[in-house]
Formats: sequence, C-alpha cells, structure tokens
Amino acid sequence: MRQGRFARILRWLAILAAAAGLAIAPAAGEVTTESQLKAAYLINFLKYVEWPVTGAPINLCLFGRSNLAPYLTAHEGRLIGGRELRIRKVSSAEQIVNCQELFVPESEASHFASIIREVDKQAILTVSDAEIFPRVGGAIAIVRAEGRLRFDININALDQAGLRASPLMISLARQVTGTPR
Amino acid sequence: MNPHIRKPSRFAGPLLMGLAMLLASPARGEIDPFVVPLDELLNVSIVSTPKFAETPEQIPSAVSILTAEDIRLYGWRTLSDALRTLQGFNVTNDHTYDYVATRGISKPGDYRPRLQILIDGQSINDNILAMSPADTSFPLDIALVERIEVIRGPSASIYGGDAMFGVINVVTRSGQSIKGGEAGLVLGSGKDKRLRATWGGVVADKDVLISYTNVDADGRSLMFRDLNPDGSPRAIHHIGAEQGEQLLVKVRGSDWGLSFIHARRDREVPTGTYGTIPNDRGHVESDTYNLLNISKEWMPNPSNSLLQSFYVGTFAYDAKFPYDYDGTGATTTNIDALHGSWWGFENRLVNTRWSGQRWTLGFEFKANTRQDLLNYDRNHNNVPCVGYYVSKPCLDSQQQSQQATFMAQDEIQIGSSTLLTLGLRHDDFGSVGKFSSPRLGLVHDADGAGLFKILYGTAFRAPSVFERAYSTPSFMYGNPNLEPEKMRSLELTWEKQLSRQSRLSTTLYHLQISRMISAYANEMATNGVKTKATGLELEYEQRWNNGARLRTGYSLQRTTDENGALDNSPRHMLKLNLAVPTGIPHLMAGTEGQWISARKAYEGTARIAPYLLVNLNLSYAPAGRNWDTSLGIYNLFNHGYNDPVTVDNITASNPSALTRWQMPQLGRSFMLRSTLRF
Repeated sequence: MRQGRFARILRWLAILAAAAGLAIAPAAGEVTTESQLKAAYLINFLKYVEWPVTGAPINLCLFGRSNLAPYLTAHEGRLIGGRELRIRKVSSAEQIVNCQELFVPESEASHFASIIREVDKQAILTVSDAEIFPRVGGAIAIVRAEGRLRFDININALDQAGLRASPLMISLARQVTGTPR
Repeated sequence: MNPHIRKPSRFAGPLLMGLAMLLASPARGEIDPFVVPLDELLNVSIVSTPKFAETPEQIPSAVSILTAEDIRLYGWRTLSDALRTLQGFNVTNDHTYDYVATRGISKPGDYRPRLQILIDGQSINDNILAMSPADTSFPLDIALVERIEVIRGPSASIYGGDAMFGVINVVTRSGQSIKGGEAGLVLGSGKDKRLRATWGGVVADKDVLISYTNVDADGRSLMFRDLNPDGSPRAIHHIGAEQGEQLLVKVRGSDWGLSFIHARRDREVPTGTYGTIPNDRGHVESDTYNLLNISKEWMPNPSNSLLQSFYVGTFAYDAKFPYDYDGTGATTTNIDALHGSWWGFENRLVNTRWSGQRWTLGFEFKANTRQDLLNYDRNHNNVPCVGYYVSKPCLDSQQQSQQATFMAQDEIQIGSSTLLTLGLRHDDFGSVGKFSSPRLGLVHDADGAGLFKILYGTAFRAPSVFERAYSTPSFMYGNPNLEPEKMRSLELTWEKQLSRQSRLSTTLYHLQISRMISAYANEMATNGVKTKATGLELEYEQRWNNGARLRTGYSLQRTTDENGALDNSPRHMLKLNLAVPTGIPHLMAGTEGQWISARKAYEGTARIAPYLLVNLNLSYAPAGRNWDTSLGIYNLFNHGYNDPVTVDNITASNPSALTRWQMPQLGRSFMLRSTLRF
C-alpha cells in the first residue's frame, strides 16, 4: 500500500522533471557558488592589472576571516603572467607589506580604515565584497547584482598605488569612481 | 526469483536517459579563472550553497574533507568505505548494515552511532532508530558526492543530540559540474550491477541535477562455523544480495534550493540472524527513505542573512523474518514494520553587524507525525507471535512527538589571531524533557607554531522510539523508563601546515557519558552509570606535484564503563591511503590499508583478533575523453577476519546452533566502474 504511494510520487516527480527539462532549453550561462565566483574574480584581476615592479611570486592575501581560501589554495603555484601565485592569510594591517592583492571581506569592515592607511601608497590592489569599499579609499568592490557578481572600481585608489588597470577591465566595471590624473 | 522482493521500478531510468540525451551539451568542467576572461565571469549566475559554509580553520575541532577525486582514486563503494579510511573511525559489518563508529564507542547492537549525517546540510537520521546509514542503504549514490566534510567532536549545540561525536556533511555535485548527461555502470563480485543515469546543467539560470540509480546484486558465499553443532563450516549464500534504487532531484537558484531524495534498499539476510532459517532468501530487510527539502535565503541588508528551510521526510524499515518454530520445516514469516514520517521548518539568522562578531540564531520545529512499530506473524496457524500464544500482534505501537529547538552561537574575533566560539542549544522534547547543550570553542592561530583548537561541549541524547518501545514477547529490548544520556567532552587539536603540501593534525580528547543507553547481550536496553573515553588521533597528509597523495592516521583510544573496557573498541588503529601515478599516462594506482587491533566482544568475554585490510584501485581517466574507468580489488590479500556483532541467540530455527557474537567477513572482491559523459 505504502510502497505503491512512494512509487506514484516517484513517477510523478520523474515526469514533472522531464517535462520541466523539455520545456526550458538550457541557458548558455554558467552557474557557480558565490564564494567560488569571488575567488575567480580575485585571480582574474591579476591578469588585468599591471604592477610597477614585477618580481617573482605574486601574493594574493586574504585578510582575517574569509571563506575564499579553500577555492584559492587549489590554484597555488600556477603562473599568472609568468609569476607564481601564492595565497597568504593575513590578520593585521602590519602584515600586508608583501601582498600584491589584498582581499578584505565585508565582515572585517571595521578594519577598512586601518588597512587603507597602511596600504597608503604601496603597490597593493585592495579588493572587498563590501559595496562601500571604493568610497572609503579601497580600489575594487565585488558586488552582488541580479543573481550575478559585478565590480566597482575607484581609479584614484589604483593611481595612488601606482597600479594600472587595463581599459577592458575598466570598461567592464559597473561603476567607476574618481578620474585618472 | 524471490517473490518477497519487489523489483525496483524501471520507468525512471530510461526516462532520465532519454532526457539526458535530449539535453546533452558538449562543454564540460568548472570555471578555471586562469583561462576564463573577466567578461565571461560577469555572466556567471550564482547559486546558494547549504548552510555549512564555515571554513575548517574556524571550526574549533579537527575537520577532514574527502573529495570526489579521493572517491575515484581509492574506489570507495559506499560512504562507510570512505569513512573507515579516517583516523578514529571503526566500521563493522554484520551483512545487514555497516556500523560507523568513532571515539571508541560502538557496542554491537547499538543502531545509533551518535553521529549526525547530513546531505547538503539536511539531516537524514530517521525518527525511529536514529540510524546514520553509511552503507548501500545511504540514500545517495556515492558517484554524486562532491565532498564529504567530517567534523569531529560535539556539535550538539548546532545539530542536536545525534551530533554527539561529530557531524558528517555530504555535499552533492552541482548540475553545472556535470553539464550534460552521464551514465555510470558498476559491475562487482557477486553479480553486483549498479546502473546510473544522471543529467546536470543549467536551466533558465537554475542549477539542475537529476539522477537515478538501479541496484541489483546477487551476493556472495561465505563459510560460517557457528551454524553446525560440531563447529564444522557451513556455506551461506547470497550474502549482501540486494535490490534497490536511488533518486535525486535537485534545483538551485541564486537564493533558493529544492531537493528530493528517494531511496530504497532490499537486503537479503541469509546469515540466520535473529534465529531465522539460514540460507532462506525470504529473510529480507528493507529501508526506504523519502526526503524533501525547500530552502530560501533572504539578505535584507549586508550584515544579516536569514536561511529558511522546510522539510518533509519518511522512513520505513520493513523486514520479513522466516522462522521454523517447531522444527517441522514449516515456515512462519514474522513481519517487522517500523514506519516514521516527519516534517519541520528551520530558520537560521547570521548577523555580522558588530565588528569582529558573527552571531547565528536558530529556531527549528519538528513534528514526528508518525513513529509506528509493528510486528506480527504471518501464515502460521493460531500462533500469531514468534512462538508465543497470544492473539494479537507481537508489537503494535503508535506514537507522535514534537520537538522545538532554539540555538544561538557567537563567534568572536579576539585580536588578530584568536576566535572564540560560544554556543548554546535548547531542545524541548515535550514529555521527554527539556535540555540545554552549551559549547565553548577557541581557535588560536599561532602562525609558525600552527593552529590550536580547544572545544568543550555537552550533549543530550534522548532515547529513540526503538530504544523505548520496541519489545516483543521474544525480544524484550525496549524500555519505556529509559532516561536521556548526557555527555561532556573536552578536546584539544593542533594542526600544522608543515610545508605547502603537507599537513599534520593531532587531537587529544576525553569524554564522559552518564546514563549511556545500551543493552547487555540483546536484553532490555538500560541506562549505564558512567562511560569514559580517552584518545589520541593523529593524521598526516602530503601531496606531490606529480599528482601523488598520501594520508595516514593513527588513533589510540581507551573506553571503559563500570564493567571494564567496552566491546568493539580497538585500542589502536592505523590507516594509510596512498595514490601514485603508475607511469602510464592518466592511470593512477590508489592503495589503502587499515589495521585494527584486537577487540573485545561477547560482553567482554571474548576477543577478536586484529586484522589488516588492504584494497587496491586502478583508475584510468584519459584527458579530453568522455569516459573513465576504474578497477577496485578489495581485501586484496583475501585475509579472513571477523567483526563483532550483537550477541544473538540463533537457535529458534536452528536447534543446535551456538550463540553468535562475531561474523566472518568477505574475502577478495572486485568492482569495475565506468562512467560515460555525453
């Protein structure tokens, strides 16, 4: 009796799934989790930004409590523009000296001011997932919009750090603040 | 063909296969940020993930993560195959179920391992036995597993009393990662055939996965020495014979998710367990799960996120036990039907408004709408109850219950390298009682010296319906006067990244359970006095650039109660997993070894010899091809060993038989696995 009901539910679900699958053609876009996509952005920025000095490894630093480490460490050791990628965790503003890119999650927003002060004119690309970040002196904010991720750029912050973002990257930004000198 | 076994329904397989072919798309693989340009990232849709998204560095106890790659390299057939490779885990098998245990507490006959098993964050423990299925009764095909997250230590403050010793979260693959159709064919010893059809992809920005697996195994033969009065061996056939099916339907949007799981396994039990007629193919125990979960995530502002989920589940254990009560050869079938159903909703709010703090507040309500136990004899004249002359079912118990839970947790960042976790859970079980489970954790990152973790936790475990109410005239197990058991535990973990590719983890624990529920030799379940366990768990991991990987673990444990050391609690366990390239491109060899020291059995009066189990798996995954294959050889050296089982008086249909307290295990077995993608 009961078994019969389960089988009916099963049949119903299978048919429903088939109908849904047939009715809607698969879209071209890809799907991933938010953390994975943020991690992909962090690596991608490295391809579109030029640093004044090109030394050996390129350090991508994660500030404080961040969920992105598991998605990034898998890529450690791979090359970007001939430079080996390294992932580092930092927990205070003083430790950021050797970072080329620094990600500060929104949950660490209380450290924004001290980090911006510490970065000052060093060649560090600062990125956060807090929308406010470019307005408080950070370079890039990754923001959620319509089920996707976009990014905002603060050109002044890039200039002060002596970094050059490619025109393509600037053209893809959702919002560009500041004007280049 | 045995008339008692219902054949798996056969409509879903072909249907899914057809669907998969229609929608097949050639592209494959996850996003590689090194290759994918920025403008393409802008078009990627995001899907929400289950609530479990803390990182291992922030969890105040040892965490192991096993991946789909590990499953492929080592050829794990079930979840218990994967778990038994981990330090501190001891898996025993009685040819009906696998019993997964950790922390040295795994008395034979105890169905509750005090572990919580989740699939994508949803609990699958049933509301009658509170089992944590990890063998082929686990309701998910292991080929659909992306990751297995094992969090040791008491997580009761978050997940409830069944998470006393740990939580195992099984994360399923995304439709995106399959991107098209996939067919799996598994052939193994004992005419074991497992056919899977899966389709995954993106439909209107939603991540969709549909998969159906059909299982049909004939089982193996094995010699038993406890069935003949003179101790001479007797062959038992169709051990592990089973038929079943597993269905998963999963849809994920950017802030919501839906999943439905249906699974059924009919397992033949020819071993004469419970005194049934040995080699009778009518002894079938079947487990059925239906689990539906709908969740939605709300983000009213950047510092708050609310996850709401609604779930419905059913579980059914249906068994047929063939008996020869009077020795005349006439068979009486005793029927066991344990049926549970439940629904509930859960709310979890995460707040990061205060700097350096992360608050999690939760409320959950669960209604157990059905917790029925039924046992009766079929087709035997005037003897309606296992040899006892009573004119009603042996057991007919119907219950309902409710449960409300509040939980709060605050993770506080102290300075730049210390994280304090304070957690409290309050469970209201209605008539059973109200319990609070606090938890206190500390993680300190001492940079060069490694990561230090301390966890103090408590847990309450209310007796299951089975433990309270399952009693028949011949099996007086259930005890309505059982009290909840209570645990306190302290554990210290030290983790050190020795190099970029090697890691060492050490855990020391001590725990005490007061009033632990167990039964002496399958008699009535009672509360014990005090059970103590102390142990050390070591794990070392190393990877090499050529793709080789090593994981090895050692555990030392000592568990005692007022009667001395516990049964099935090995003092030492050594584990080793090593995968190396063979020199032939894309052919990897994965080997694993598990050495388990001697164990006590039969209420401390018997000893089971140590065993060493070695498995070998060769996996071939040619680059750029749409197929891969692997061959696993299990128990490579055909080592004969026994596992302790619940003390069982197997005389009912077998007058001269002895009392059974151990069970011989299978010798060398093979399994060939192939996957085709289109």
